[in-house]
Formats: sequence, structure tokens, C-alpha cells
Amino acid sequence: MAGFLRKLAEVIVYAVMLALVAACFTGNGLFIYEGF
Amino acid sequence: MSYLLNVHALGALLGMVLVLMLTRRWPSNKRILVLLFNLCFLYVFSRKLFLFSIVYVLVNYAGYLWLCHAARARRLLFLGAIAVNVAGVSTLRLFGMNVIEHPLFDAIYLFGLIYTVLKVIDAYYFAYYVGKESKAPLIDFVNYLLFIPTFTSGPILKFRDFMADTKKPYAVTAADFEAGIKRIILGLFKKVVLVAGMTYVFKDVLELDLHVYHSLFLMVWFYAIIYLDFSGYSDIAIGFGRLMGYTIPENFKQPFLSPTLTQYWRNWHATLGDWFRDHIFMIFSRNYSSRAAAAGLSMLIMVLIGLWHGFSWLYLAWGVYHGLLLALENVLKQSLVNRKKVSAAYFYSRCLLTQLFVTLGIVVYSGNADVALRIYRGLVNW
Repeated sequence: MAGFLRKLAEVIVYAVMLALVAACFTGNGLFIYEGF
Repeated sequence: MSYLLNVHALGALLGMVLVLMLTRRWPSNKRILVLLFNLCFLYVFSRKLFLFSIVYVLVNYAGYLWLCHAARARRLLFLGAIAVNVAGVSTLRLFGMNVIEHPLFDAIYLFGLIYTVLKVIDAYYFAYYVGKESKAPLIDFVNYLLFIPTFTSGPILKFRDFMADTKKPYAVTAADFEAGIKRIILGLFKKVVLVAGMTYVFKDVLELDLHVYHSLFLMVWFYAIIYLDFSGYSDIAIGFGRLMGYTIPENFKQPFLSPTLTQYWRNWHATLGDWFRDHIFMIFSRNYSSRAAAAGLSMLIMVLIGLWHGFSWLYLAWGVYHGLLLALENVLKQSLVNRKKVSAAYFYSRCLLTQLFVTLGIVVYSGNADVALRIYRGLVNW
């Protein structure tokens, strides 16, 4: 049960990260050093 | 410009992973399809870069084969090949800085070149020390130098490891697949969400009249940005590399838990530190084994790493600063701290001290002298 819950939590965390990436992704590909 | 955050490039990489999975029963899929992918990717990305890369790889492959088979003047050939590569890349960088000009030069030639030249030199080292046994087919040599996930910003692949990988058939287990996808998501999250958001804060604070507390904040904040940005890039490269059937070395190995700067440079941008240690430190330290010699070599290596980042007084000063600290660690016999042999309080206080030294020099990574000087001036504005 503990293993299942850990996996579920992991899936949720990565799903949230992916959703945030999808929301913020511009697709322009600017490398950060060029931004300064 | 990094193509790993470009929507078309990400789509192409994911498509390539899918193709490799669908053709996994074909024993040569990993070598031939990855070769086609690397070449097609560069061709679509930039025709000029494609042509330049082809010529650069073929010329170096000829030199590499020559060195593999040469029976005489091997040392001269080896050192000559390295000198020509370093001189060539340095000249191109001077063109990139507009110090010298030529109508045929295009800035795109520099794209990923500072990483590619390190891989080329590693191949020459292998050929020189191993000889005929080290001979690798052209297809693998091209894949080694132009492997798209690591082409622009590393991690720096080792020739021997990559060639060993090419001999294994394509095999990605469910666990590998899960690990690869998770690394890519983590890397994208760091770069697209965290770094992008944190950069706005950095720029906003930078606009203020900087006082000591602003500057200290900017240094720590910038350190976090650099870490997330670069480790995020490495995460994406490692994830795609794994899904394409290649093992990409780790670049960041808990650098914040390094009790000395010597240990820090084995954990931060680890493949770069390993490269310089393997190719310069290990060779010279055989002949000069005293502490003073080790200190001198540390200084030389850090200055070279600084200049590798860019030909500017800022990076030179950064290299001298880190070189001096590493030399001091050597002379004072403080290079290594074994976590198991010291108290937790001592270990963590040394880690904190190391981070303090690194943070003081970190803004140099902005690559912008005005930004760095503004932040340093703020440190004396009470």
C-alpha cells in the first residue's frame, strides 16, 4: 500500500510539472545566457 | 540558442525515440538511424552548420585514423592534431567576438563547437595511448561528435564509453523508459518554469539601486538560476540519451554537498572537470608530483576552464580566482574531506564555506561584465 501511494504521489508530482511546462512552454528555445 | 527547448526539436527527438523503439529488433538501428537523425537534424537546423560539421568531423577522423596507425612521430602527430584543433576553435571564437573578420565566417559555426573540440581531443588521446586497438568506424565517430542530445551543451561524452555503448544493441526497458521520461520532464520543468520565472525576478532586482543586501541576494539567486538552468539542460540530454540507447554521464552530483573546492569541481559540471583532470592534470602530475606542482596545475586548469567559457578578462579573472583557491587547498593539504571521518558539524560548515567561495564568483557566468560589475559594486554600497 505504501509503495502504491508513493508511486501515486510521484505520478501526481510529475503530472503537475508537465502541466506547468505545457502552460509556460514558448517553444522558442532561447538559451538562458542570451537573456542577460 | 538551445534547440532542446524548441518545440520542433523536441518533437523530432521524441519521434526518433519512437522510431528506435519500433525498430529495436534490427541490430544496427541504434547506429545507423541515430547517424541519419544526427545528420538530418543538423541539416534542417542549419545548412551551414551541417556542412561545417561534416568537414570538421571528416578532417578529424582522418587525423584520428592516421594517429591510430602511425608507427613513427606519434607524439608529434598527437600534439599537432590537438594544437591545430585548439588554434582553429580559438580563431573561430575571435571571429565570433569580431576581433578579426572574414566574409565566410558565420556565428553558427561556433554552435556547440567548444564541446565538440573536447570530444575530438579525447578521441586523439585514445588513439595515441591505445593505438590500432582504438580504431572506431566512421559511423560511430560521427555519432560520437554530433550526438544531438549533447551537441550544444554536454554533458561531455567520453570516447571510450560511447564506443562501448555503440556495441550494445538498442535496449530500453520499462524502467529505463520511465527514468528517461522523468528526467526530461524534470529538466523541462527546471528550465521552462523555474528558470524563466526566476530570471524575471533577477532582472527586476538588477534594475534597482543596488545595496549590499541586493547584491548578496542577486548572487545567491543567480547561483540558483545557473544551477537549475544547466542541470535542467543536462537532465533533458541524459533523458533523451537514455531513450536513444546511450548512457550519458551525470553532470551534477550533489555539488552543494562538497566540503572543498577540489571536490566541488568533481560534482559541478562534473564532465568538464573530469575532462580537464583526465587530459591535463593526470598527464602532467605524473612528472610533477609535489604539492606545489599540483597547486600550479590547478591554477593552469582553472584558467583554461575560464578561457574555455569565453575569451574575456572576466572569465580569466574567474579562472585565476578559482585557481588560487584550489592551489591554496593543495598547499594547505585541505583538498579532500572524508565525510565519514569528520563530524557532521565540521562537514556541513566546510560545505557552507565552499558554497560561499563559489557564490562570490558565480555572477561571472552571466557572461556580461556590466552585470557582474554592477553586482560587485553593490557589495560596497552600504
